Amino acid sequence: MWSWEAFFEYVRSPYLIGGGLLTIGLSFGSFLLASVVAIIVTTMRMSSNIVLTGLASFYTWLFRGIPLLVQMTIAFVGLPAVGIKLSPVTAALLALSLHLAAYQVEIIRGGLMSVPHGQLEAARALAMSNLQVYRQVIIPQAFRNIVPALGSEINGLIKHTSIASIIAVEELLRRSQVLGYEKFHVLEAFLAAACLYLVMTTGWNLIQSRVEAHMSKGVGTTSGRTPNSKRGALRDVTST
Amino acid sequence: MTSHPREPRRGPGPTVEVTGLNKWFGDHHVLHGIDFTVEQGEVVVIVGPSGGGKSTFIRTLNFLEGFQDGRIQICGHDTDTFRKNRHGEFRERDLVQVRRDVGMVFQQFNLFPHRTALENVAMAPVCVEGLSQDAARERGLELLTRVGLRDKAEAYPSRLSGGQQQRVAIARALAMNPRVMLFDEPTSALDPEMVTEVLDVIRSLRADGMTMVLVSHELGFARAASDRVVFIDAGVIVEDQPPDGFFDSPKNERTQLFLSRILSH
Repeated sequence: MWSWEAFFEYVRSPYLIGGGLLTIGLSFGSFLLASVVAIIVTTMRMSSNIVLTGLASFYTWLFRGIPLLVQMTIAFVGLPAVGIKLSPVTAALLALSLHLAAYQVEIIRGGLMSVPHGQLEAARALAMSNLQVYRQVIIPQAFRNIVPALGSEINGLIKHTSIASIIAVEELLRRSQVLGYEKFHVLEAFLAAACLYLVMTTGWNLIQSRVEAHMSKGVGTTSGRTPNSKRGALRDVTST
Repeated sequence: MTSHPREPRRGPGPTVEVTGLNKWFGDHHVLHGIDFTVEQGEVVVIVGPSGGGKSTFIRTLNFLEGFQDGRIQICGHDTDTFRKNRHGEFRERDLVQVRRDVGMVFQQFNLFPHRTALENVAMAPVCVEGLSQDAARERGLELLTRVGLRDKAEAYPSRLSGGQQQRVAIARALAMNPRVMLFDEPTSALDPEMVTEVLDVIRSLRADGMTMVLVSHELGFARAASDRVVFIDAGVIVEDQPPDGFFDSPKNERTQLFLSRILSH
């Protein structure tokens, strides 16, 4: 029997909302860690050193080729076999970060390669070093392509953290299972969790569209400064 | 002009001296033992059929294209003194030094779209030369004034016409106080009514004594505003003459054929 009473109790339950907070924490925590890993792997991938590019390709091949569920299980039950014992949350963070990083590498690389070759040549012709070319010219332009794609990754990540429930991380899905089986209002508990997932993803979408609107401001207009001009060497050239 | 912080390098010889330059793209031999000289203050226009190697050639002068064999001396820099890395390429340190003395303007302008016109011009002086923001801004405004675009300083490239973008690109290249300017088909991507405004700027540079090498299809400009016209076909310099001689009495058959085809309209 469907019980509205149970549903409303679950939706408002601090226990379930606490699980939601862990979901958010896992999402942003693993996103940040993944970004660090992805930047390193992308740099390796785009270097001229054949060993580094090989290692980077191997990394993306491996972590994109195995289901996240399997990776997470290995992190939790496999690593102890070689002497590395991780708490469920740490194992989940590790697996999520390494998995996501493999996808971020492609996003970042695609963003960098989408900048027309003429930009690179113009910057080189102005006697910029490779480092300056990337910092001043390529990365600011690639950023506009990368940010929307990475934002969508966070949306996906909020849902993917639910996989951590299988290694007993008490995030939103796990806690809804616990609640549901307590009094056998399973569907009510799951739907309460579904509502909370929707709140989180909708909230993130709002933030993301704000960020993107802010980023597209300035470009192609005669007034205003681009957000990117706040970084880099030239930030005060146009201000008085 | 704002004074240059470095002493310009002045070698005793010509500004540009290329000897025995050979370049292959795979099996395709694009430049065949090119010898080429530009004296200080000279304006040299390179013409020729497309695919003949003229763009490739001008791009080797600031090392946007590598080459397999030969020697380039430009503004006192000499490839014979450069060291190569283990991939057989010149080291960045040497190339950066050359490019500080050699400005380049591209067919497609290649302005940085995320920066205003003024920021485009002031960027290299700040990050390459280490000029202060204020000094770079001042130099940038001077140069934009010189190309007639002082009022567009705060505009982003997407809001400028092709001719205006190309004039900003010229100002951007001038901002490094180059000793020679390279132009790779600077008016080919422009609508006809905008060609003149860009050529006028180039003429004004000539009046100031700037050494320039241009790849161009503007034969009228070549005739009126150059010191020498060079014809490159199939990777070889076929003709190299002052403009009057080049257009009135070309010595080589291929030059005659090229000119008769172009001038018949």
